[in-house]
Amino acid sequence: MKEPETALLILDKPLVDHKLEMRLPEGVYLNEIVKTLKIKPGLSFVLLVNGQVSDGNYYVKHGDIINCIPQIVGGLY
Amino acid sequence: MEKNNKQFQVLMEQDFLDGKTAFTGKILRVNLTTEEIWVDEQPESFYQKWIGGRGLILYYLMKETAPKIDPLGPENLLIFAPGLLTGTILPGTGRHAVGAKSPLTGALASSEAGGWWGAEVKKAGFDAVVIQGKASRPVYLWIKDGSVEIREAEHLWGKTTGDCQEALHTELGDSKVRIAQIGPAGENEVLYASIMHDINRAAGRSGLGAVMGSKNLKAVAVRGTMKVGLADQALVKMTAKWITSNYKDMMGWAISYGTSGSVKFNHDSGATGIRNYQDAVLDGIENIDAATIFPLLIKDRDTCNRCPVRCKLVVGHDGEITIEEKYGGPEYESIGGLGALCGITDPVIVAKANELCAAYGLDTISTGGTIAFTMNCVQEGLLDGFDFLPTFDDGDALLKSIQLIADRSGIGDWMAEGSYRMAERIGNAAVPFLAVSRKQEFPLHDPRLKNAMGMGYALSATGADHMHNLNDTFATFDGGDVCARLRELGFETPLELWGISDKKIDAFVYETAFKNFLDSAVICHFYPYEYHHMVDALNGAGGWNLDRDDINQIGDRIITLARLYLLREGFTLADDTLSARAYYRLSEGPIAGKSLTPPELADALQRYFKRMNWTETGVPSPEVLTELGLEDFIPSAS
Repeated sequence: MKEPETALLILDKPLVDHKLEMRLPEGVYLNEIVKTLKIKPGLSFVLLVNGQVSDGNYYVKHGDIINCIPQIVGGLY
Repeated sequence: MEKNNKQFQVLMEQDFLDGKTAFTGKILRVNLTTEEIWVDEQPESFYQKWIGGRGLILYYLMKETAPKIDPLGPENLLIFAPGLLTGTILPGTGRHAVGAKSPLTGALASSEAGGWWGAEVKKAGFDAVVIQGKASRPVYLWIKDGSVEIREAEHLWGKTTGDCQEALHTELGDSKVRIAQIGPAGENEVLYASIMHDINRAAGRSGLGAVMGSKNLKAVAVRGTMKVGLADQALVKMTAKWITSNYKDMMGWAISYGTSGSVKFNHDSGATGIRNYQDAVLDGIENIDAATIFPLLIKDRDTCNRCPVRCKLVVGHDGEITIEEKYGGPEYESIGGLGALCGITDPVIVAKANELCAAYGLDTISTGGTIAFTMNCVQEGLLDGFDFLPTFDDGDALLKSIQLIADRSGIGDWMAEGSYRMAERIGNAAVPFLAVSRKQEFPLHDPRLKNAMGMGYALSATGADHMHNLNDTFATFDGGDVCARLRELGFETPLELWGISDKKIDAFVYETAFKNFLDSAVICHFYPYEYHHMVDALNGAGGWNLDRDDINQIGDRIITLARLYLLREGFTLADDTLSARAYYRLSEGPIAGKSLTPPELADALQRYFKRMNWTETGVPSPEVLTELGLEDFIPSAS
């Protein structure tokens, strides 16, 4: 039986308590995946697909590596 | 109100002394030319309308300064403005604003600082301090529990902020005195000199330190022992209880590393300009992220009045390069500006550069931005004839540049004017390397990634500013406080990342109104407060019955008055721009091929003006001014 085509999503601190790697099926939109993620409250993030910033309308392909990058507001002093 | 020379004593109202109000109604006034001191009595309605902070600053600038004054002339006002909530029990209120006409931009300077100074001045009995004129020799102000005195400061002039603070603590016999002051950069009127508070908290942006220096005012020392009251303690306590119960979960990022823990994240997502925005990746970026700095440099944590989070890192280092802990530690913007923007990844160099900026009193963002621009011009062969010129990746050159800027020596005298004026001197060949709006250097939030933020840079009355702005990447997926606030307003889904849609403009209008309210209240932006929290806090402080729409209207009022200030000072639609670096597209990395185009920005501005009911040239309509209670500021037909 043929193994399903997959992509990899990586979540790390501080979005979650412990680093997490998830296999994703290809052929879904990132927006749908994001809704299922259990990210800590109060935190924002951007998605990198194969090293490039992407919006949620991206259609996941086989072999994609997707990173969730936390966004922390900047300060001066 | 009676005016007094050099010394003044005011009696507080009994309600304030009894802890029943968060404001005294007393605005301290000082004319340094005549040495007169007096108090403006303001009614409750003044605070309902302007709140404090930026609102109060704009009110006084519009009411009491003539158009197109010299920012470094005696007629400019220097305004220290805590907010209605500053000094109260609510966490996140350990902040105050400082304002003036900016010598860097020619527009509004309105910058906020954390720490204790703002709470101290409220506890001394004053809702704000408005300073005008110019002293004939260096002086400082000494404010203690309703008493005010102008004192000689010849012996303090020329001192670094650390040495000045030590001298004043000794002179006043009290190490608890809180001090706002300038360093040598402010004395030398560097156009982006900051005003330092407790030597490690800056009202950093737009050259407020130069304004203070131009008045021969070295410091404002404050000691207050009274209590800032609340009209309805239970209402404020409710919000305070909510945040103290939730901050560990919602602000874990701040508790663990502070903003300096975001350096690698921001680099990886393309938010940090590298080598003046020409590169996509900086090898070794992890070296200047808090995760690396922690074991090497972090000695302690610091905080602001009434803040349990303690997000301020304190760094120290012994060795060939020493770093003094008393100057605190670098935040994200400082690490990005003095590090990544200049190609520097040595954490000791970056921390030392931050210390020098605090000691000399320099804005770390514009310092880093101007040095990076200079390095770019050197790379392109556009500068010669100087004994010393800085180059990318050279840490020693970074440190030397900061010293030269503060001293206005050699190339430092050019750099002290900021990158825009440097480009004017160098010529058109330098223009492609500028990263400014309204002559102020970009913060470390790249508008090629954050398009609405870029529009905010172009529109802001303070020049490029990331604080009273919409941060695109915080509103793209549910989770953060921006999305929570937008949900509360009826937005059903988060915003799209790229571009500036009508929906994004709608969110921008709400979010900038909220942030301008925060900067008037004056509240830390890191706290994940939503509208209902602020409604309760505001009503609890003032004893009022305001609602969410009132908060938005207060924000809109301040934004609109700031626009009137810009127009009055001669700015036009042609000045609502981003400089060339915002449009320079990278060929690789996280934001490869991405940026707005000038026509896209122009189109977005028109849709914003329409949403605000402003004209096509960005002039607020008389109907809007009336609706916002700004009738007094409607420009005359003549």
